[in-house]
Amino acid sequence: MTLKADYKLVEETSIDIGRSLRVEDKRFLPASFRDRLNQVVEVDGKIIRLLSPEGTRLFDKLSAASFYKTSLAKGFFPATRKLSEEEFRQGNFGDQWQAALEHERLPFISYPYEWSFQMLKRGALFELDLQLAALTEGFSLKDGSGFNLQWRGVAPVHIDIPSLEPLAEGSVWSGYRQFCQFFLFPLMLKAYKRVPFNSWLRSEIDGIPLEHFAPLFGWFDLLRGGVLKHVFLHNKLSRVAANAAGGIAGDIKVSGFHKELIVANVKGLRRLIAGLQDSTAKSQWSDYAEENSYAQQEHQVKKEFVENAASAIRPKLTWDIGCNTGGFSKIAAKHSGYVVAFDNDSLCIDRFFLDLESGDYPNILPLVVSFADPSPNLGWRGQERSSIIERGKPDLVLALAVIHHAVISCNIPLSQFVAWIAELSPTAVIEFVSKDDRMTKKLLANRIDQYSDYSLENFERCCEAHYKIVRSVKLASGTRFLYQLEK
Amino acid sequence: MFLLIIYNLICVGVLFFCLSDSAYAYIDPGTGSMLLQVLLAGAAGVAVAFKLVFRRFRNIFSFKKPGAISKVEQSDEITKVDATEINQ
Repeated sequence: MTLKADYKLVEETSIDIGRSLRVEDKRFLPASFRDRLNQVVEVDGKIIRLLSPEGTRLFDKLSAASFYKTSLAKGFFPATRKLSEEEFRQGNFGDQWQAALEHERLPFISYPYEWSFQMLKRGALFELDLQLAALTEGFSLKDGSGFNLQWRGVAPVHIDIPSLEPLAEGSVWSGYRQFCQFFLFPLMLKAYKRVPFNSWLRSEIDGIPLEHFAPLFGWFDLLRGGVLKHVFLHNKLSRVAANAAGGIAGDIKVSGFHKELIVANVKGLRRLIAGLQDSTAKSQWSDYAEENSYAQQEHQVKKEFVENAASAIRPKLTWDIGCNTGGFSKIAAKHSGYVVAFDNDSLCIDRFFLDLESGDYPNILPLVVSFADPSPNLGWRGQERSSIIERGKPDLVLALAVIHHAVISCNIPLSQFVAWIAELSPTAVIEFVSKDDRMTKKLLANRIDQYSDYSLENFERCCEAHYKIVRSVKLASGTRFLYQLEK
Repeated sequence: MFLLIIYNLICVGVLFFCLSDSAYAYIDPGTGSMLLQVLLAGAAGVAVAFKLVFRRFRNIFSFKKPGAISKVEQSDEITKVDATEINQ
């Protein structure tokens, strides 16, 4: 997000930015524009949510509800407080706002297209549980967006607090379709069709569209849980209803629709999602265990090397850019403020996520991201969803046994790969896997070896162009080398 | 089977839906998605579905103009007016 773009957003929303604050001190978050009842700004590094008069009235009702207080205390929402009248006045936020909330800043923002199957499933169940708690006290989510959900480590957090509103009598859950598109359909895609959902979710800002999803299912699929109702009939009714001349909210209301019917639907959805499983998971995980039976001693040396580096650097944010099932992320996490662990293999992330749910490492966020194709800017103006690099640069990068994939599998020149890490982070731990290594030979088996740049000497030259080599170790296999780099 | 009967009933009813008098949120819940929620409610939803369709037929055959408001909605309107007057 450039400063220039920030100025534009401030001007066009016609906010009086006031004289007490410098322009650069207040930044409207580019994702916050859809709901006119509130808008999120960043002031002096703080996350402030401005509320319109109607938004204030609704929030005051919500904040008096006991499920809200309980959820807040349990960390299901970001820690939140309402600014005092004096603080609000000093903020000079503009006439259209009546009050403001300050939210806790979460350590790292991620998006549904970066989550694994188990993460999306956990998030879906969390949102449904929140909806059930809200319904018991006469409130409801007014949407079902996956972007309302974030993570504190592997604990889900619902960040869009004003999306909970008092439920009008006779209303349906207006976020039901959105919930299907962000949660249910992607999970069904993986569970029933064995197709990863991430790339499809990444290309659709509002989730997988019902009308695009439904044609994937044939008659046989109608026997699978939830397909007949949530996909087939949902799509048919939507197509039939597209010919209706107007809305039907009033008709549904006066026909006696009531809250208990939403509760029944949400419970049904919950049962359905809880039963969805990734059928590809079991076999490939066992493959993984065999693939990685490399020498225990070598593994131990590598662990100690990472531990020494992380404990010396003590980074606020560590990126592990090929984390696998997270063994080294955990070591780094002991000495880091927060660790974001990437792998493009969603099965590894699933496994790591389930492992982390035991709670021993609350400061690790695992994500399905490929270093060769990291998440770009997306959505309205290409700014609504930030690229992963704009969401927080690390001060330590772990790149363990990924460099051969970068150079050989992805054809990224060695010098560019090292330069990219140097752009990201002032320190790094990189494992160089030479051409003599078994895994590298496997990658080269069916390729012309055009990788004359891929040598230990050239690797060292590339590192020295950006970093100082603090320490290096040759592992027992003789084909792998560890480097600790600092600027 | 049960679902399909209700589904067909609603589909017939949909042809006559033409009244728009209240809305829920800043996103469009989708007419089809709203109707499905009635259908998903199982036995309890059946009564709502029947009423929904019956209302549409009644309105058609009583030659009401599209946009006309029912008794229930009229009473809502009156309550709102009263409340406004009291506030003033």
